[in-house]
Amino acid sequence: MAGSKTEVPQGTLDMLVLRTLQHLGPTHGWGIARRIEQVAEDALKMNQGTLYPALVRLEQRGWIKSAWGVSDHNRRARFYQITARGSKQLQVEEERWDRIAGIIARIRQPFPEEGAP
Amino acid sequence: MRIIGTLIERLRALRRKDQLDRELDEEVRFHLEMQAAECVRRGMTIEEARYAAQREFGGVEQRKEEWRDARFLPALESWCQDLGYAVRALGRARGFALFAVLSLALGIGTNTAVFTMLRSLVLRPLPYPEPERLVQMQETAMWMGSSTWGSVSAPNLKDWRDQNTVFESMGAYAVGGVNLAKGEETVRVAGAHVESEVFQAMKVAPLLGRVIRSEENVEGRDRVVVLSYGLWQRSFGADPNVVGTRVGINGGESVVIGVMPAAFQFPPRSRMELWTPLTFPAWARNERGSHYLNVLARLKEGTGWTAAQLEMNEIARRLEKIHRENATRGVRILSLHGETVRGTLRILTVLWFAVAVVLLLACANVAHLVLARAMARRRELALRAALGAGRWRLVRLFLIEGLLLAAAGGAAGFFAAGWSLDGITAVAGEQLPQGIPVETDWTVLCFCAGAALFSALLAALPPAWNATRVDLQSALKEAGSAGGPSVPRSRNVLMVWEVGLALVLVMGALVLLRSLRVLNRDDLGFDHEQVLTMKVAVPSHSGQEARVTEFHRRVVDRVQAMPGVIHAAEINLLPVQEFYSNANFSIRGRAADRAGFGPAAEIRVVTPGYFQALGIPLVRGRYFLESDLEGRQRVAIINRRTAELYWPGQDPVGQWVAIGTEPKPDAWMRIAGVVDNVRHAGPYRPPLTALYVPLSRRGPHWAWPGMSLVVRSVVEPEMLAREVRQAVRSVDPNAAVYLVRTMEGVVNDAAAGARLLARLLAIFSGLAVALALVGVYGVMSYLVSQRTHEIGVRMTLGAGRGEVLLMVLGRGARTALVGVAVGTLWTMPLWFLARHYLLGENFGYLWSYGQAAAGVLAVALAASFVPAWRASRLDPQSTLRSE
Repeated sequence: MAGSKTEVPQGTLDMLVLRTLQHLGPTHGWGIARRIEQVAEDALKMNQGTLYPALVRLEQRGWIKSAWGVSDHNRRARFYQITARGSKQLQVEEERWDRIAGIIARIRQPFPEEGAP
Repeated sequence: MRIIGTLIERLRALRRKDQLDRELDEEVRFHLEMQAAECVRRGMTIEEARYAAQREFGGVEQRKEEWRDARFLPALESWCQDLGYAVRALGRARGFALFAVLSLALGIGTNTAVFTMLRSLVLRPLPYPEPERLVQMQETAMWMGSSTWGSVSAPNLKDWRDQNTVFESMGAYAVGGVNLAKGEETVRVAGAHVESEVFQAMKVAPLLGRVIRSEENVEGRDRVVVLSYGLWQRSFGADPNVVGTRVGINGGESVVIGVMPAAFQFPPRSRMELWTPLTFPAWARNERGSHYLNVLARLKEGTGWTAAQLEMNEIARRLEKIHRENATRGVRILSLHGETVRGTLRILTVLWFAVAVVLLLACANVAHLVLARAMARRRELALRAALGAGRWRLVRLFLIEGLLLAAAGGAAGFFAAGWSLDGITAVAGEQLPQGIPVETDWTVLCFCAGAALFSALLAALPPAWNATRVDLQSALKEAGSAGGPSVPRSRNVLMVWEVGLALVLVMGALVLLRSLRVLNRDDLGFDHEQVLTMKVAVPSHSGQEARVTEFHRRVVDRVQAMPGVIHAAEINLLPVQEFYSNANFSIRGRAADRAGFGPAAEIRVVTPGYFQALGIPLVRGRYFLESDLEGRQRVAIINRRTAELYWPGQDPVGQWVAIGTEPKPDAWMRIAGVVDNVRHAGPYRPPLTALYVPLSRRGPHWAWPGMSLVVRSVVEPEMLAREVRQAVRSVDPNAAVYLVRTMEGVVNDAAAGARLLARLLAIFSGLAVALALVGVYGVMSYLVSQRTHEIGVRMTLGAGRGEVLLMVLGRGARTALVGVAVGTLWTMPLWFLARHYLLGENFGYLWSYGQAAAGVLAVALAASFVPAWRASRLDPQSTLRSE
């Protein structure tokens, strides 16, 4: 994606969204953004707009689904909801994340430049 | 499934674009309002809050754009990303890229060249209107107990023509030479004698004048000739008034009735200079057992092959019942196209096999390099996987790289195809049809692209599959060390493949080369050195048989008397040529066999000195004597195979035989002797049964108008050619002398097809071995680099340099041996071919196999030696420290 100052790795954002929806149930985009920011307590800074392409992507993959509804303030809003497949995916992602986080911590030396064998 | 789902989503999105955009606007507006409201709650003014909300969102339009990207074509974007990545990665590994592109260009280029030839020379329809309806017809029969096929007799053709309802036209033709008188000189030109129906079937209009009419297929009215465009241009100065002029043909005068267009060839792919009417002498019209005609027919519009074949079967069965000569005889219909391209197709099939092996080897090499690179990039791949890249995304990285390489290789190969085409054409010479444009068109381009895609998949997918199967954790833990359990098995498989494929090609080349060496006296049955041959023909018409015999006898006498000549003789058909002239014969005192199972032999008419002239050894009895020709008793000589087949364990000398199944009382001949076998039908066909009859002035007059003179001399054969030609002319100034060659040349020409294939296979097997050498070297080098640590440990523990060398070499040898074993299985079809067509039943094949296997093994060992040597020179200290 085009250069932006706040890069949250793609896979990570997906996971965060899935986790949020798992936790909160049907939520609109702004609600998800708010929740992620609250939980991260400003440590993870992201443009809220980044969320929307991610939501489309997740929906295309069948991990979430969306429907138009009415918000607490009686406004028309699109609500997102995690699907069964999404829950499964979340589980896989989180397990993998735990594992990788551990591994990455152990990497010390810089990666060598690749080249011809 | 997910891909399909996404795709459907996107397609749906495309259709509802406006609505989706509206929804997006609404969603963004909602978000901003909510955010702004939140900010107001925190104490901002409405203006500030709106601004803050937009800042938080991060560029509304930018986000919307991203959103649309995600909705429509994220795939395209990420492909482009990967493409850019692959280009950069290949740019960093220029050596690898160059080698891979060149190997693939070699493989794709040669394959494209062969395909181009196949398309132009084999697949392209024949240049006649509706060529798919043109067929060739043959008689089938039982012959010496097995089924065979061949030419058609005149009465059978007449009955087929009269009784069938499926053919529009059906006509006979015979190909031969014609003596064309041009000023003082008589030249021999290639011509076809055709029935008018042949021209009807071909449906090609003449450029000038007309074609042959049916009333001209009668003796006495046949003095007309149709010229080819080439002959008209060369010998008649393209005279537009040539129709109606007279030319000397076969000692008489004929009227030119027409000129065919430049593109017209008949028979297809032949280079006939003229066409004259085919006539049937009285004997041929009634001789149902005399099969000598080629038959061409055009199916009626809408008539299927099967229907035609069924009806012809019916007719053949009817004829079989009426005529005893037709016992066991049937009909078969063949596509004219198929028959025309058969020889070319055979050559191209072998060629294609060779270039396919080269392409597979090239792919194997590139696959190995890709795999090696993948191993070097293990951590990078693992990291990508860790950051959320799916396996497909990783495989795609390789695939794009492979596609890039193959696209470059394909483009280079497309140009290389031009050169290979020129090369192959130059090597092939006359063995491939001449004068037919070999063109590159869009199908060739498609083929080239297809070959590139195939190579990309073959070279990139297996390594990609292998490399992305890595266990994330262990890959990351390895942290740059080159050790660890990589994927040695897939490498071994590659090496086994390469060695096996190389073996197959080398075997093919060796078998063919050996088959060329076979052509010596022992195998051919005669001594082809120091012998001059030429065709000698005299114009003749039926009823002049005695005159023809006299002419040939006088030619032999005249040439025999020339200084420097040891033996001079004539024969109707020279050996090692694919011509047949055979007949059933009867043995006195034996009951006739069932039809199709009786004794039969190639009949050869010779003058008495023939066996001495070609150095054909006598097995029993004696050669022909001049006195045989004067005495009352008629004699014949048979070959060893005939003696073994029909007189097993007995002495055939003194027995009586006669040509035909119901000989007249004066037709019996006493067998005077048995000579050794000669390969009559071709250099690689096993000797056939043969019956030699002498050419006697007293008759019967077996002589053909054109016979082959063979002259064994003390001087170099070529030096005699002029004088012999003069001697023949002095016997009859109208005689034509042509096809002047040494016997060695005859044998070489007969083996030209095999020699061409041998040469091409030698070239391609050389390439294959070179590719395999590189491949084995690569695999072994990699292996050593993977085991550097282990080798260091071994050396520290006391293993000598020699031991390390042997260990690595042993590893290479073991894999190469497996490769040879696998390759051996693949060469089994070759064994069959070699036994039946090329080498015969001797140890030649095993010897070739031994050489090929040893050669390939040696190459594999040589390729393993450098890495092995490098391994043995390793400094154990530094290898251990580097860990």
